Amino acid sequence: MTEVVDLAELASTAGLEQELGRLAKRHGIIRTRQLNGQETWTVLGAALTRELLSDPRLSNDVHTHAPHGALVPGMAVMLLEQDDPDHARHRRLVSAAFASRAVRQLEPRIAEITDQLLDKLGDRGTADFIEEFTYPMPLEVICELLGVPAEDRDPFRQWAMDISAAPSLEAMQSAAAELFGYCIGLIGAKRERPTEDLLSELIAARFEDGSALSDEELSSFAAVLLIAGHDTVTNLLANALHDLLAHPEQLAALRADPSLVGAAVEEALRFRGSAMTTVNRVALEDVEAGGVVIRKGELVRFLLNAANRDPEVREDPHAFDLGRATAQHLSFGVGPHFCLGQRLARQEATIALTEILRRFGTLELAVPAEEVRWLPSDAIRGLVELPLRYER
Amino acid sequence: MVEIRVDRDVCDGLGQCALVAPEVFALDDDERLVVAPEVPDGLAGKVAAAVRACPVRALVVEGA
Ligand code: HEM
Repeated sequence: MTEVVDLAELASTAGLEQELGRLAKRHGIIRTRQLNGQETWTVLGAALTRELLSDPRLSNDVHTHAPHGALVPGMAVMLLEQDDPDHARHRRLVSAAFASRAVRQLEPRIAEITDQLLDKLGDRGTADFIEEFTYPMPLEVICELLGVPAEDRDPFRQWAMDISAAPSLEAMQSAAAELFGYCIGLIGAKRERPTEDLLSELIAARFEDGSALSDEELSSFAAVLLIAGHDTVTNLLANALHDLLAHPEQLAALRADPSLVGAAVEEALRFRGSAMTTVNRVALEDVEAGGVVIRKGELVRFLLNAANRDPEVREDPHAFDLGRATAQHLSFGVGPHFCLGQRLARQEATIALTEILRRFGTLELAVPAEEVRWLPSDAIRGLVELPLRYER
Repeated sequence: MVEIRVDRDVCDGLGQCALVAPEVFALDDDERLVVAPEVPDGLAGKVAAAVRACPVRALVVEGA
């Protein structure tokens, strides 16, 4: 149990999830090293993940209780770094925008954005699908939803990359600072001149007691949505395409019966979810779990891609199989911090996969499978690029 | 006797309670929360955990 696993190093291989499944079989919880060099407890087992993610003895408010474990030191992040009752209060205020009805209304626009981007691919025959599609599609969706002007969107990709897969802690923090700075300016502009979008709505929103969100809360929320709302979908879509192509019999089944797309999205999420690890929690008291004692003040995070391959709860966990009775995967987290945007993410993925497969009767990797490169990140799971050969 | 109240204005049909205590909570096809009319004996602990798992705190338990 003294072994410390370096996740970022493991992550640059396609076999990461297999290795995690093996580890999860032996240990419910291990020690891993984070990007900034500090060690944390990391939960691998599915049962333990479900149990501990709703345990109030583990706090998300690292800002107060363990500032060194904060996502962005110096600024508490709305929702993700809040505990109840504050968390539930804030989440109630924003949840209508991500409810089923609101998300269904976005469908035609998501389809339109999808069409426009795929039209641009034309007949070139090969393209990096991340660059040309899986990155711009969800970014456009979330920027439109929030009200980020089109001309401001260029730096987002670098910020997102640096925040989730930074080469160093400094790069991550400076990207976060730039993003927050941008969001503060945007909130100021919308306060003066409200537009028809989610940010303007949130500026006008009031809690039950009549109070409003502060500028700091608003900008931290905007920043979280801008990053969590596109980077995760970008990588999930690319992972899904990659894994479907790597399992031609499953791809053929999906082509033969497009109504399987929902199952394909869920299996892609389970097989290689894009939000590989949760944010840090901090123990508010000593917690006994999985045969270890997490001491008060220690950090804990959850490796969802391990839990999803835990052989304890999943038959043949390393098989990519659309036919599996979808025992709930954990890729959107569990409990109070269960992903706010999961309906939107599922809808984007469903529309995109359906349309890509409908358009391109031929779709294959344009490089040998072993040349595909994975992001060396311990937080986000995804590809550096996805060069595909396509034909109508 | 444990009694569960659901704040319908707040419940978002996310199903986190149903993950924790499927004996008591389920979502119907419209993502509407359905609660068992009676909580089986010995499940008070699970119900309490389900309440804590709710992202918007839509559940209240009385008489536990
Ligand atoms: C495939 C895409 C996505 C994946 C895999 C994903 C995954 C996750 C996970 C695992 C969490 C929980 C983190 C934790 O407990 O530490 C989470 C939370 C969150 N996600 Fe997502 N997400 C995705 C898409 C989105 C989208 C599209 C949005 C917004 C538009 C979004 C917004 C959020 C927010 C705001 C939270 C924090 C919720 C809270 O703390 O109450 N996510 N997501």
